[in-house]
Amino acid sequence: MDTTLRITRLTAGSEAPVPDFGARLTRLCDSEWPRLSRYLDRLTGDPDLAADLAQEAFVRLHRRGSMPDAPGSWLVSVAMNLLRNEMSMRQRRRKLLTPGRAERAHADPAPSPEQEMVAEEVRARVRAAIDAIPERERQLLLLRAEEYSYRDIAAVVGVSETSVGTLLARARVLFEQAYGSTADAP
Amino acid sequence: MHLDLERMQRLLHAELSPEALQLATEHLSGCAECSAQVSEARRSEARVHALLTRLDHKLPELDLTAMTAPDGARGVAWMRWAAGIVLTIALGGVAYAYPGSPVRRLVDSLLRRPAVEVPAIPSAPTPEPSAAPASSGIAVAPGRRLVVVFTPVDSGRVHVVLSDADAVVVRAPTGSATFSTQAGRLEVRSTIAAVYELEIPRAARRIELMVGGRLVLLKEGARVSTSAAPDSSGGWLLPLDRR
Repeated sequence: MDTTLRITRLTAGSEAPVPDFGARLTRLCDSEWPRLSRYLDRLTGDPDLAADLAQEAFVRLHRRGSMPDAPGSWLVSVAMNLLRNEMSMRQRRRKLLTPGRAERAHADPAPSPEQEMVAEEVRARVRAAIDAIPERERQLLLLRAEEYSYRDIAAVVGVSETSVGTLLARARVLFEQAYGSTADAP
Repeated sequence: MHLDLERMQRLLHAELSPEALQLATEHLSGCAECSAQVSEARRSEARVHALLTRLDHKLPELDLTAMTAPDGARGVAWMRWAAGIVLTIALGGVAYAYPGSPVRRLVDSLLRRPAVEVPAIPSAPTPEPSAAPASSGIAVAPGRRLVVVFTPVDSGRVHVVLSDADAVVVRAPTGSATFSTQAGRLEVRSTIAAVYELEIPRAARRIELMVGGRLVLLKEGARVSTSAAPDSSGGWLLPLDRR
Protein backbone atom coordinates (compact mmCIF):
# COMPACT_ATOMS: atom_id res chain seq x y z
CA MET A 1 0.00 0.00 0.00
CA ASP A 2 1.41 3.36 -0.94
CA THR A 3 0.70 5.10 2.33
CA THR A 4 2.96 8.05 1.57
CA LEU A 5 1.07 9.05 -1.51
CA ARG A 6 -2.32 8.60 0.08
CA ILE A 7 -1.55 10.50 3.26
CA THR A 8 -0.02 13.36 1.31
CA ARG A 9 -3.19 13.58 -0.69
CA LEU A 10 -5.32 13.48 2.43
CA THR A 11 -3.45 16.07 4.40
CA ALA A 12 -3.12 18.38 1.42
CA GLY A 13 -6.82 19.15 1.57
CA SER A 14 -7.07 19.36 5.36
CA GLU A 15 -6.88 22.53 7.38
CA ALA A 16 -5.27 21.74 10.68
CA PRO A 17 -2.02 19.79 10.09
CA VAL A 18 1.25 21.68 9.97
CA PRO A 19 3.42 21.18 6.86
CA ASP A 20 5.53 18.25 8.07
CA PHE A 21 2.75 16.60 10.01
CA GLY A 22 1.68 14.50 7.02
CA ALA A 23 5.17 13.11 6.53
CA ARG A 24 5.51 12.31 10.21
CA LEU A 25 2.11 10.69 10.24
CA THR A 26 3.12 8.55 7.27
CA ARG A 27 6.21 7.31 9.06
CA LEU A 28 4.19 6.72 12.19
CA CYS A 29 1.62 4.66 10.28
CA ASP A 30 4.36 2.44 8.95
CA SER A 31 5.92 1.88 12.36
CA GLU A 32 2.91 1.93 14.69
CA TRP A 33 -0.02 0.54 12.73
CA PRO A 34 1.12 -3.12 12.72
CA ARG A 35 2.04 -3.30 16.38
CA LEU A 36 -0.95 -1.31 17.59
CA SER A 37 -3.32 -3.51 15.57
CA ARG A 38 -1.64 -6.70 16.74
CA TYR A 39 -1.62 -5.57 20.37
CA LEU A 40 -5.35 -4.79 20.27
CA ASP A 41 -6.11 -8.00 18.39
CA ARG A 42 -4.34 -10.07 21.01
CA LEU A 43 -5.88 -8.11 23.84
CA THR A 44 -9.48 -8.29 22.64
CA GLY A 45 -9.51 -11.49 20.59
CA ASP A 46 -11.72 -9.61 18.13
CA PRO A 47 -9.85 -8.64 14.93
CA ASP A 48 -12.65 -6.40 13.62
CA LEU A 49 -12.91 -4.51 16.87
CA ALA A 50 -9.12 -4.24 17.05
CA ALA A 51 -8.94 -2.81 13.52
CA ASP A 52 -11.69 -0.30 14.28
CA LEU A 53 -10.02 0.84 17.49
CA ALA A 54 -6.59 1.16 15.90
CA GLN A 55 -7.98 3.09 12.96
CA GLU A 56 -9.98 5.41 15.21
CA ALA A 57 -6.82 6.11 17.24
CA PHE A 58 -5.05 7.19 14.04
CA VAL A 59 -8.08 9.25 13.00
CA ARG A 60 -7.89 11.11 16.31
CA LEU A 61 -4.20 11.71 15.85
CA HIS A 62 -4.88 13.10 12.38
CA ARG A 63 -7.59 15.39 13.77
CA ARG A 64 -5.20 16.54 16.49
CA GLY A 65 -2.96 17.90 13.77
CA SER A 66 0.26 17.74 15.79
CA MET A 67 2.46 14.99 17.13
CA PRO A 68 2.33 14.16 20.84
CA ASP A 69 5.64 13.73 22.67
CA ALA A 70 5.36 9.96 22.70
CA PRO A 71 3.13 9.04 19.73
CA GLY A 72 3.35 5.28 20.31
CA SER A 73 2.01 5.36 23.84
CA TRP A 74 -0.42 8.15 22.91
CA LEU A 75 -2.01 5.92 20.27
CA VAL A 76 -2.22 2.96 22.66
CA SER A 77 -3.77 5.14 25.38
CA VAL A 78 -6.39 6.52 23.01
CA ALA A 79 -7.20 3.04 21.72
CA MET A 80 -7.49 1.73 25.30
CA ASN A 81 -9.93 4.51 26.20
CA LEU A 82 -11.99 3.67 23.12
CA LEU A 83 -11.90 0.00 24.10
CA ARG A 84 -13.15 0.80 27.62
CA ASN A 85 -16.03 2.79 26.17
CA GLU A 86 -16.87 -0.04 23.81
CA MET A 87 -16.77 -2.61 26.60
CA SER A 88 -19.07 -0.59 28.84
CA MET A 89 -21.51 -0.18 25.93
CA ARG A 90 -21.45 -3.91 25.34
CA GLN A 91 -22.09 -4.60 29.00
CA ARG A 92 -25.19 -2.46 28.78
CA ARG A 93 -26.59 -4.58 25.98
CA ARG A 94 -25.86 -8.03 27.30
CA LYS A 95 -28.62 -9.91 25.56
CA LEU A 96 -26.64 -10.51 22.42
CA LEU A 97 -27.16 -13.56 20.33
CA THR A 98 -24.31 -15.82 21.29
CA PRO A 99 -21.83 -16.16 18.45
CA GLY A 100 -21.74 -19.92 18.91
CA ARG A 101 -25.45 -20.19 18.29
CA ALA A 102 -25.30 -17.94 15.27
CA GLU A 103 -22.31 -19.64 13.75
CA ARG A 104 -23.78 -23.06 14.19
CA ALA A 105 -26.78 -22.01 12.15
CA HIS A 106 -24.81 -21.28 8.99
CA ALA A 107 -21.33 -22.64 9.57
CA ASP A 108 -19.57 -24.55 6.84
CA PRO A 109 -20.44 -28.19 7.53
CA ALA A 110 -17.16 -29.49 6.09
CA PRO A 111 -14.97 -31.02 8.82
CA SER A 112 -11.77 -29.16 9.71
CA PRO A 113 -8.42 -30.83 9.05
CA GLU A 114 -6.73 -32.33 12.08
CA GLN A 115 -3.91 -29.79 12.06
CA GLU A 116 -6.42 -26.99 12.11
CA MET A 117 -8.09 -28.53 15.11
CA VAL A 118 -4.82 -28.81 16.99
CA ALA A 119 -3.92 -25.22 16.12
CA GLU A 120 -7.34 -24.07 17.26
CA GLU A 121 -6.92 -25.98 20.52
CA VAL A 122 -3.59 -24.27 21.22
CA ARG A 123 -5.09 -20.95 20.29
CA ALA A 124 -7.98 -21.50 22.70
CA ARG A 125 -5.54 -22.43 25.47
CA VAL A 126 -3.46 -19.30 24.87
CA ARG A 127 -6.63 -17.20 24.82
CA ALA A 128 -7.77 -18.76 28.09
CA ALA A 129 -4.36 -18.18 29.69
CA ILE A 130 -4.09 -14.56 28.61
CA ASP A 131 -7.64 -13.90 29.79
CA ALA A 132 -6.89 -15.59 33.12
CA ILE A 133 -4.11 -13.24 34.22
CA PRO A 134 -4.88 -9.82 35.71
CA GLU A 135 -5.53 -6.98 33.25
CA ARG A 136 -2.40 -5.06 34.20
CA GLU A 137 -0.15 -8.09 33.64
CA ARG A 138 -1.95 -8.87 30.37
CA GLN A 139 -1.27 -5.38 29.05
CA LEU A 140 2.35 -5.46 30.19
CA LEU A 141 2.98 -8.75 28.45
CA LEU A 142 1.26 -7.80 25.20
CA LEU A 143 2.85 -4.36 25.01
CA ARG A 144 6.31 -5.80 25.58
CA ALA A 145 5.65 -8.46 22.94
CA GLU A 146 5.27 -5.54 20.51
CA GLU A 147 8.54 -4.07 21.80
CA TYR A 148 7.09 -0.96 23.34
CA SER A 149 9.69 0.75 25.50
CA TYR A 150 9.52 0.63 29.29
CA ARG A 151 8.64 4.32 29.24
CA ASP A 152 5.71 3.75 26.88
CA ILE A 153 4.55 0.72 28.85
CA ALA A 154 4.68 2.67 32.12
CA ALA A 155 2.69 5.52 30.58
CA VAL A 156 -0.03 3.26 29.16
CA VAL A 157 -0.41 0.90 32.10
CA GLY A 158 0.08 3.54 34.78
CA VAL A 159 2.99 2.02 36.70
CA SER A 160 6.38 3.37 37.68
CA GLU A 161 8.92 3.05 34.88
CA THR A 162 11.48 1.73 37.36
CA SER A 163 9.34 -1.32 38.13
CA VAL A 164 8.34 -2.32 34.61
CA GLY A 165 11.02 -5.03 34.31
CA THR A 166 10.04 -6.70 37.59
CA LEU A 167 6.33 -6.55 36.73
CA LEU A 168 7.04 -8.00 33.29
CA ALA A 169 8.92 -10.95 34.77
CA ARG A 170 5.99 -11.65 37.11
CA ALA A 171 3.50 -11.32 34.28
CA ARG A 172 5.42 -13.88 32.25
CA VAL A 173 5.42 -16.33 35.15
CA LEU A 174 1.69 -15.86 35.67
CA PHE A 175 1.00 -16.43 31.99
CA GLU A 176 3.11 -19.59 31.81
CA GLN A 177 1.41 -20.94 34.92
CA ALA A 178 -2.01 -20.14 33.48
CA TYR A 179 -1.09 -21.75 30.16
CA GLY A 180 0.19 -24.84 31.95
CA SER A 181 -3.00 -25.13 33.95
CA THR A 182 -5.13 -25.09 30.79
CA ALA A 183 -3.53 -28.40 29.83
CA ASP A 184 -4.89 -29.93 33.05
CA ALA A 185 -8.36 -28.59 32.50
CA PRO A 186 -10.96 -31.16 31.41
CA MET B 1 26.29 -8.63 44.37
CA HIS B 2 23.95 -10.49 42.02
CA LEU B 3 21.76 -8.78 39.42
CA ASP B 4 18.27 -8.13 40.71
CA LEU B 5 15.17 -9.02 38.73
CA GLU B 6 14.64 -5.50 37.37
CA ARG B 7 18.18 -5.27 36.03
CA MET B 8 17.97 -8.72 34.47
CA GLN B 9 14.83 -7.74 32.63
CA ARG B 10 16.32 -4.44 31.54
CA LEU B 11 19.37 -6.28 30.27
CA LEU B 12 17.10 -8.58 28.31
CA HIS B 13 15.20 -5.69 26.79
CA ALA B 14 18.11 -3.31 26.16
CA GLU B 15 16.74 -0.85 28.69
CA LEU B 16 19.95 -0.38 30.71
CA SER B 17 22.04 2.77 30.47
CA PRO B 18 25.49 2.24 28.90
CA GLU B 19 27.14 2.37 32.32
CA ALA B 20 24.66 -0.06 33.89
CA LEU B 21 24.99 -2.34 30.89
CA GLN B 22 28.77 -2.47 31.25
CA LEU B 23 28.51 -3.31 34.96
CA ALA B 24 25.92 -6.01 34.30
CA THR B 25 27.98 -7.56 31.50
CA GLU B 26 31.08 -7.65 33.69
CA HIS B 27 29.09 -9.30 36.45
CA LEU B 28 27.61 -11.90 34.14
CA SER B 29 31.02 -12.88 32.81
CA GLY B 30 31.95 -14.08 36.28
CA CYS B 31 28.61 -15.24 37.69
CA ALA B 32 27.24 -18.52 36.40
CA GLU B 33 24.11 -18.22 38.55
CA CYS B 34 23.02 -14.87 37.09
CA SER B 35 23.99 -15.96 33.57
CA ALA B 36 21.76 -19.01 33.93
CA GLN B 37 18.88 -16.87 35.17
CA VAL B 38 19.22 -14.41 32.29
CA SER B 39 19.33 -17.30 29.82
CA GLU B 40 16.22 -18.84 31.35
CA ALA B 41 14.43 -15.47 31.27
CA ARG B 42 15.32 -15.15 27.59
CA ARG B 43 14.01 -18.66 26.84
CA SER B 44 10.85 -18.00 28.84
CA GLU B 45 10.19 -14.81 26.94
CA ALA B 46 10.74 -16.56 23.60
CA ARG B 47 8.25 -19.27 24.62
CA VAL B 48 5.65 -16.72 25.72
CA HIS B 49 6.02 -14.60 22.62
CA ALA B 50 5.75 -17.66 20.39
CA LEU B 51 2.53 -18.63 22.14
CA LEU B 52 1.12 -15.13 21.79
CA THR B 53 1.51 -15.29 18.02
CA ARG B 54 -1.15 -18.02 18.11
CA LEU B 55 -3.68 -15.30 18.87
CA ASP B 56 -2.88 -13.32 15.75
CA HIS B 57 -5.25 -12.80 12.87
CA LYS B 58 -4.33 -11.41 9.49
CA LEU B 59 -3.26 -7.81 9.96
CA PRO B 60 -5.74 -5.37 8.51
CA GLU B 61 -4.56 -2.64 6.17
CA LEU B 62 -4.88 0.90 7.39
CA ASP B 63 -7.70 2.56 5.49
CA LEU B 64 -6.31 6.06 5.43
CA THR B 65 -9.25 7.50 3.57
CA ALA B 66 -11.22 6.93 6.77
CA MET B 67 -9.12 9.61 8.45
CA THR B 68 -11.03 12.31 6.66
CA ALA B 69 -14.24 10.37 6.31
CA PRO B 70 -15.85 10.98 9.73
CA ASP B 71 -16.42 14.73 9.23
CA GLY B 72 -17.83 14.22 5.77
CA ALA B 73 -19.78 11.20 6.88
CA ARG B 74 -21.35 13.20 9.67
CA GLY B 75 -22.48 15.82 7.18
CA VAL B 76 -23.89 13.21 4.86
CA ALA B 77 -25.50 11.43 7.80
CA TRP B 78 -27.13 14.64 8.96
CA MET B 79 -28.47 15.36 5.48
CA ARG B 80 -29.77 11.81 5.18
CA TRP B 81 -31.38 12.07 8.58
CA ALA B 82 -33.02 15.36 7.67
CA ALA B 83 -34.07 14.03 4.28
CA GLY B 84 -35.56 10.94 5.93
CA ILE B 85 -37.59 13.01 8.38
CA VAL B 86 -38.82 15.39 5.69
CA LEU B 87 -39.69 12.50 3.40
CA THR B 88 -41.52 10.66 6.16
CA ILE B 89 -43.53 13.73 7.13
CA ALA B 90 -44.32 14.56 3.50
CA LEU B 91 -45.43 11.04 2.64
CA GLY B 92 -47.33 10.83 5.92
CA GLY B 93 -49.17 14.04 4.98
CA VAL B 94 -50.00 12.73 1.52
CA ALA B 95 -51.23 9.47 3.01
CA TYR B 96 -53.36 11.38 5.52
CA ALA B 97 -54.89 13.57 2.82
CA TYR B 98 -55.70 10.67 0.52
CA PRO B 99 -59.46 9.93 0.56
CA GLY B 100 -60.27 6.80 2.57
CA SER B 101 -56.72 6.60 3.84
CA PRO B 102 -56.15 4.20 6.80
CA VAL B 103 -53.60 6.74 8.09
CA ARG B 104 -56.33 9.35 8.39
CA ARG B 105 -58.48 6.84 10.32
CA LEU B 106 -55.56 5.96 12.54
CA VAL B 107 -54.67 9.56 13.29
CA ASP B 108 -58.28 10.52 13.87
CA SER B 109 -58.84 7.61 16.21
CA LEU B 110 -55.69 8.48 18.12
CA LEU B 111 -56.80 12.08 18.47
CA ARG B 112 -60.21 10.99 19.68
CA ARG B 113 -58.85 8.43 22.15
CA PRO B 114 -55.39 9.53 23.20
CA ALA B 115 -55.23 7.38 26.32
CA VAL B 116 -56.26 4.07 24.88
CA GLU B 117 -54.13 1.55 23.14
CA VAL B 118 -53.09 1.99 19.53
CA PRO B 119 -55.60 0.37 17.16
CA ALA B 120 -54.22 -2.81 15.73
CA ILE B 121 -53.12 -2.46 12.14
CA PRO B 122 -53.32 -5.82 10.46
CA SER B 123 -49.91 -6.73 9.15
CA ALA B 124 -49.44 -8.39 5.83
CA PRO B 125 -49.43 -12.18 6.07
CA THR B 126 -46.43 -12.46 3.80
CA PRO B 127 -43.84 -9.83 3.02
CA GLU B 128 -44.67 -8.21 -0.28
CA PRO B 129 -42.83 -4.94 -0.02
CA SER B 130 -43.14 -4.10 -3.69
CA ALA B 131 -46.90 -4.38 -3.37
CA ALA B 132 -47.04 -1.72 -0.67
CA PRO B 133 -49.01 1.28 -1.87
CA ALA B 134 -46.53 3.84 -0.52
CA SER B 135 -43.38 3.58 1.45
CA SER B 136 -40.63 5.73 2.85
CA GLY B 137 -37.08 4.70 3.30
CA ILE B 138 -33.44 5.48 3.69
CA ALA B 139 -30.21 4.34 2.04
CA VAL B 140 -26.94 4.29 3.94
CA ALA B 141 -23.45 3.32 2.83
CA PRO B 142 -22.44 0.32 4.95
CA GLY B 143 -18.78 1.28 5.47
CA ARG B 144 -16.64 -1.21 7.37
CA ARG B 145 -19.40 -1.93 9.83
CA LEU B 146 -22.99 -0.80 10.20
CA VAL B 147 -25.37 -1.48 13.07
CA VAL B 148 -29.04 -1.27 12.10
CA VAL B 149 -31.25 -0.82 15.15
CA PHE B 150 -35.02 -1.34 15.07
CA THR B 151 -37.37 -0.26 17.85
CA PRO B 152 -39.33 -3.32 18.97
CA VAL B 153 -42.95 -3.40 17.83
CA ASP B 154 -45.27 -6.25 18.75
CA SER B 155 -46.38 -8.14 15.65
CA GLY B 156 -44.00 -6.09 13.54
CA ARG B 157 -41.53 -7.89 11.30
CA VAL B 158 -38.52 -7.09 9.20
CA HIS B 159 -37.80 -8.89 5.97
CA VAL B 160 -34.07 -9.03 5.30
CA VAL B 161 -32.74 -9.68 1.82
CA LEU B 162 -29.31 -9.50 0.24
CA SER B 163 -28.90 -7.20 -2.71
CA ASP B 164 -26.30 -6.26 -5.29
CA ALA B 165 -26.66 -2.57 -4.47
CA ASP B 166 -23.98 -0.51 -2.74
CA ALA B 167 -26.15 0.79 0.08
CA VAL B 168 -28.09 -0.64 2.97
CA VAL B 169 -31.72 0.25 2.29
CA VAL B 170 -34.61 0.28 4.76
CA ARG B 171 -38.14 0.66 3.48
CA ALA B 172 -41.14 1.15 5.69
CA PRO B 173 -44.84 1.68 5.01
CA THR B 174 -45.47 5.40 4.91
CA GLY B 175 -45.76 6.97 8.32
CA SER B 176 -44.73 3.83 10.16
CA ALA B 177 -41.16 4.80 11.01
CA THR B 178 -38.61 7.53 11.31
CA PHE B 179 -34.94 7.15 10.63
CA SER B 180 -31.79 8.57 12.10
CA THR B 181 -28.16 7.87 11.38
CA GLN B 182 -24.80 8.33 13.03
CA ALA B 183 -21.44 7.10 11.83
CA GLY B 184 -21.73 3.30 11.71
CA ARG B 185 -25.31 3.26 13.01
CA LEU B 186 -28.78 3.48 11.49
CA GLU B 187 -31.80 3.66 13.79
CA VAL B 188 -35.28 2.83 12.63
CA ARG B 189 -37.97 3.95 15.06
CA SER B 190 -40.84 1.76 14.04
CA THR B 191 -44.15 2.89 15.50
CA ILE B 192 -46.75 0.47 14.20
CA ALA B 193 -46.91 -3.20 13.40
CA ALA B 194 -45.87 -3.62 9.80
CA VAL B 195 -43.45 -5.48 7.60
CA TYR B 196 -40.28 -3.50 7.07
CA GLU B 197 -37.82 -4.25 4.33
CA LEU B 198 -34.08 -4.30 4.92
CA GLU B 199 -31.75 -4.74 1.95
CA ILE B 200 -28.15 -5.57 2.74
CA PRO B 201 -25.51 -5.38 0.01
CA ARG B 202 -23.79 -8.71 -0.56
CA ALA B 203 -20.49 -6.83 -0.61
CA ALA B 204 -21.04 -5.29 2.85
CA ARG B 205 -18.34 -6.39 5.28
CA ARG B 206 -20.24 -6.41 8.54
CA ILE B 207 -23.87 -5.59 9.22
CA GLU B 208 -25.50 -6.13 12.61
CA LEU B 209 -29.27 -6.05 12.96
CA MET B 210 -30.41 -5.27 16.50
CA VAL B 211 -33.96 -5.32 17.83
CA GLY B 212 -34.46 -4.02 21.35
CA GLY B 213 -30.85 -4.60 22.31
CA ARG B 214 -30.77 -8.12 20.84
CA LEU B 215 -28.58 -9.06 17.91
CA VAL B 216 -30.97 -10.92 15.61
CA LEU B 217 -28.87 -11.11 12.47
CA LEU B 218 -25.22 -10.74 11.68
CA LYS B 219 -23.75 -10.54 8.19
CA GLU B 220 -20.01 -10.87 8.23
CA GLY B 221 -18.31 -11.21 4.89
CA ALA B 222 -20.27 -13.73 2.89
CA ARG B 223 -21.80 -15.37 5.95
CA VAL B 224 -25.18 -14.51 7.41
CA SER B 225 -25.92 -15.72 10.93
CA THR B 226 -29.40 -15.66 12.35
CA SER B 227 -31.64 -18.02 14.26
CA ALA B 228 -34.39 -17.81 11.59
CA ALA B 229 -34.44 -20.10 8.58
CA PRO B 230 -34.34 -18.50 5.12
CA ASP B 231 -37.74 -18.11 3.46
CA SER B 232 -38.66 -19.03 -0.10
CA SER B 233 -37.25 -15.74 -1.43
CA GLY B 234 -33.85 -16.47 0.11
CA GLY B 235 -34.37 -13.73 2.70
CA TRP B 236 -35.16 -13.90 6.39
CA LEU B 237 -38.37 -12.76 8.07
CA LEU B 238 -37.57 -11.71 11.61
CA PRO B 239 -39.98 -10.61 14.35
CA LEU B 240 -39.71 -7.14 15.86
CA ASP B 241 -41.54 -8.20 19.03
CA ARG B 242 -40.51 -6.99 22.46
CA ARG B 243 -39.04 -9.86 24.45
